[in-house]
Amino acid sequence: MLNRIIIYLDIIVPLICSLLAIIFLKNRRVKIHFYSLTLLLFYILQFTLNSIANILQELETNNLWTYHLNSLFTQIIFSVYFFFFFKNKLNKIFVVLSLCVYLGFFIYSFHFLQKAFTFNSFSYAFGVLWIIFFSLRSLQNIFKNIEVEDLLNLKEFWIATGILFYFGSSFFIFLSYSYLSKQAYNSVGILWKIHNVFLSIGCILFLKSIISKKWIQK
Amino acid sequence: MDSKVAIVIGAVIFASLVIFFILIFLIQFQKKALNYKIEKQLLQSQFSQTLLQTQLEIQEQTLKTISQEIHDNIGQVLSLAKLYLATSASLEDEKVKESQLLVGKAIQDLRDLSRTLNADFVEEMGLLRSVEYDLEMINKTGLLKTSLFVNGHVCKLEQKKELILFRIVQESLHNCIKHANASLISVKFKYEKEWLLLSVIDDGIGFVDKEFMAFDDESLNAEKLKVNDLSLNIAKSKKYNSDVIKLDEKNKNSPAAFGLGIRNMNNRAKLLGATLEIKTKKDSGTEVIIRVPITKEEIC
Repeated sequence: MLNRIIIYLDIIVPLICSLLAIIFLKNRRVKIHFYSLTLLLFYILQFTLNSIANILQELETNNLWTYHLNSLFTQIIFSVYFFFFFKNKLNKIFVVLSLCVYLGFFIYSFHFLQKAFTFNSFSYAFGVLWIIFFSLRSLQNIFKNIEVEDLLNLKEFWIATGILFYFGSSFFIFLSYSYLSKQAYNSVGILWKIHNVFLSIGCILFLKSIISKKWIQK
Repeated sequence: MDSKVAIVIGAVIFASLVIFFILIFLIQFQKKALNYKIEKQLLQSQFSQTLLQTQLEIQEQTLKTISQEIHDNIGQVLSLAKLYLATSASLEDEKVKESQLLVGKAIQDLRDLSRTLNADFVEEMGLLRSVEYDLEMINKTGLLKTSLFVNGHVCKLEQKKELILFRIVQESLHNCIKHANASLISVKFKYEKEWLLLSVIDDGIGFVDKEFMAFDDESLNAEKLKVNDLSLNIAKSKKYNSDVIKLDEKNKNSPAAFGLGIRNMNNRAKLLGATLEIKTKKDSGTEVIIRVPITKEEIC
């Protein structure tokens, strides 16, 4: 039973979190912050693509193309977030450039390295590296400007924490998944279960960000 | 389980632990840095308070010495001169009579001056009476009309507090006489439950083409903008919803922007935990408002 729940955690948790976030935002009756919108989009993306992936798996059809899309849209969502988070022009340019480099690599990898029906370890891991880098940079910005009492009520802090937990922990899974699915097909399933646990933690931390009332004013 | 998968799992667990500890470390570090900052600020504020207090004590001591000198030395000399004039052979001479009157007036003026300079006088008479006395003295000159209004139940404040407040009022009155070109000065005491609102109002020329100036903690936190060479900080005050020019640590040594007297008034108010506001508009007079907290120990 637990095993079954863990397999579907990547659908259940984003769904629950998005519902809770919508209920919370509706009850609060305030203008929805752009950051919350970004996270809601991430929940919806995860719910939709993971649902498709799980359905395809149940039907014993190759579902690996969904992870290409997952990586692509996740990268776009967080690039947009970081673009608006950073106030410095140089950082903004850097975010745009990183997205362009990622897109270039994604297309190259899609065509020549890991095609639609292979897990996109390279492009996924490459994108995640950028996201981790920018989340560390955002943490540095936050720690420079904010006092510790405010920190735990700050939207940006919880987003950065969620990103670090989810992407930082899952990085090795993304990187090795394609290789291991060929080398150790029978035991690779556990990796995706671990991924689901970290995705759940990430989603919960993002929910905390949506609930948090403070953000760094421009 | 395959050993390669186990290695990846190990790496994942290790990465998550590293991230967890990095975050904990950063939060703790931030906490310590904040505590250090608070302690430093506290020490700095304690130091500046002590410095301010010492400065005021020295000032009071100097004033006391001057007051005593006037009373005991110049006063005595003039009294002796008056006595000599009184016992003069040419007492019928008009000039001698006139001189006698002038010396008498000088003695009285010096006595009054000596009184207002001496802190003991304020301690004996209390704030209200001392201010009244000062206003009477201004009235006597015939140059200005003064009035005193008291609202609410009069409180006997702490002696030191009364002295500092008296000095602020004195400075305000001095400014009115010297710079305001006013014809009327009013001093208002408004005793509230927890506050004393003390206002010095004149109908003079005002001194800044802004609606008013304020010095309070709230405006210190406001957004700072540099304006011209005077480096005045103009901020939008939520409280008053108006343009505010404020005095802060950065331009405290800029007497061009604010007179030394106003700085002293502000420093004195800070010592009492009071706020000082100066509302002024060109050709519409000036109002100095001091808002002092009244403690439970002070008798009302």
